[in-house]
Amino acid sequence: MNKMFNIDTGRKFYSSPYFIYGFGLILLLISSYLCLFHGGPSNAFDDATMSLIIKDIRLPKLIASILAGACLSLAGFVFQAVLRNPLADPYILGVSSGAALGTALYVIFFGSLFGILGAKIFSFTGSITAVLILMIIYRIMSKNTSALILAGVAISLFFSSIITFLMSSIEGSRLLYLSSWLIGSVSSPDSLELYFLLFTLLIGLFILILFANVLDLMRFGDEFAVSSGVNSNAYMLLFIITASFLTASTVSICGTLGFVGLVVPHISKLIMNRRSIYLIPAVAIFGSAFLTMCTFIAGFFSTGFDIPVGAVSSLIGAPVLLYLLYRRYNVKNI
Amino acid sequence: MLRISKLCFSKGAFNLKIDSLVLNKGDLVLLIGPNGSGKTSLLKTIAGVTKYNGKVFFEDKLVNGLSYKERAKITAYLPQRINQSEILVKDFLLMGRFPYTNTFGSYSFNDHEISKMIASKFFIDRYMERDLFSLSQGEFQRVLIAKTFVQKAKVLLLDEPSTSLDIGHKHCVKEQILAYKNSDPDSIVVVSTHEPELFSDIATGFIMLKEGRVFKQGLMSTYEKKDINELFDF
Repeated sequence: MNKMFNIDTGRKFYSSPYFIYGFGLILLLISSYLCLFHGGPSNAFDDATMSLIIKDIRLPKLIASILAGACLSLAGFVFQAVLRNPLADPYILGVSSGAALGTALYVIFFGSLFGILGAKIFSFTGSITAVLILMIIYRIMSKNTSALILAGVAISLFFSSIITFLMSSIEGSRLLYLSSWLIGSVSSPDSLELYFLLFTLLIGLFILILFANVLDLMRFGDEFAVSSGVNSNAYMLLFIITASFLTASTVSICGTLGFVGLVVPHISKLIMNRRSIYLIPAVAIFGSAFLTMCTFIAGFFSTGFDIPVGAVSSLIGAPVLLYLLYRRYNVKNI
Repeated sequence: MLRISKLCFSKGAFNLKIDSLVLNKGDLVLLIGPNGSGKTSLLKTIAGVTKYNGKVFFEDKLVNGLSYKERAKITAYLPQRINQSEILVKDFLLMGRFPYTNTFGSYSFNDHEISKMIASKFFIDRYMERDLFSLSQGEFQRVLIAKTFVQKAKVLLLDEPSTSLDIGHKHCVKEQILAYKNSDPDSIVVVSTHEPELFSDIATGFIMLKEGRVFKQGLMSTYEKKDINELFDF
């Protein structure tokens, strides 16, 4: 039997959930402060310009990072639980690419990136399409979760190449914008977009906390869940739709931010080994803190050209993924 | 009383067909048969984990017509393996109380108390703060069995509970089952096993399965070694 998470947690004061939430919130506050007030290379501005930059550019960016980080981390947490694979994440599974393809189609055919409802519907349809394909493959492959990840990678690449083809049909600033958005950028979201993202996050959190105990049972497999009294198929649908919804609305605003949904749930689980009902708020808080920190790093090292946040999150996330793979496949058997 | 009638389940080339099978209150039945004879499939169909044709009644209630939670109050199933995921043993045991929770599955104080009580009764309370997958295989199996006990179902379906354990832990498992039986004498326990000798002194009856059919069924007093030889084609 695999011993992937061999963590012997003694109960100490710092493993209390409220202490950990507090710790996460402090991290979030620090990174938010850095994000808003870092000097960066643009220290040459006078005070008035600086406050304008903070209010009009950095503040919306910060809010977008906080919301998107929480949404993606929760989506990753849910995918890992219901698909029973610690490597699942909206980006790896191709759900993000599906949403991105939907949004890209909308941008190309209808022009504006800021048509709220239309873009959201396209993005959600895209992510649901990706999930549907994934679930069909999951059934065909007799619920083999390792194969599922490979299938997800294939779906992801497939959708990405469609996007690349589509992008060759447009030009100019829209192309530049689209390509930067694809890598994952939180620049210049308008307030309506942010309200929508907040609304998504609240709904997602509400559903997940309500059914957190069911999510716990789902983690141990279909048979286990059903024999414990869970209508596994129905809840799987509920959770996957919730996670896709969280992913889709994030992607339609911030692009495909890689690895956030993978790294954050694992870090949260390493910090606190608890039931989902305690983990979910922690995942949301740490997700916000992680992406905010990424936004700060991206902003800090930008000179003129804006470094997309997705580049930073992937830069941190990819090594973590490798480490997790190492942990999973380099294990001693009992 | 658990009554199975005209049960039919097929998976690929294998099919399980049982016309009629009755288990009485207080029975502790051993399910014996070669690999692939349908032991696991039978347990899974009774537990409602897989889809099947036919009817399973518990005290004249049709089990397949019940809601998931109601069914889980009647049957508890111990799978041979579960998907691994990090969780503390105490939280894992608590999940056995899920059938008794409300729509949103929130556990009450009573649920916590019951899982704690079962834990101390079966001497696993010293693992409570440990991660499930940091346990040794013997300890792990004991926790898994305790979780089905926490479920307090009328019918316990244990799928090879003693396989791949050392002799000490095999006896632990046996003691655990016996203790549960004593605490709830009305419960029906079905144990699928490759070691009928291990449980022969606590079992009341046996069912032999061969190629998806009931080969022989009877009281433990009618259990004969030569049937085993025939069953396994020695």
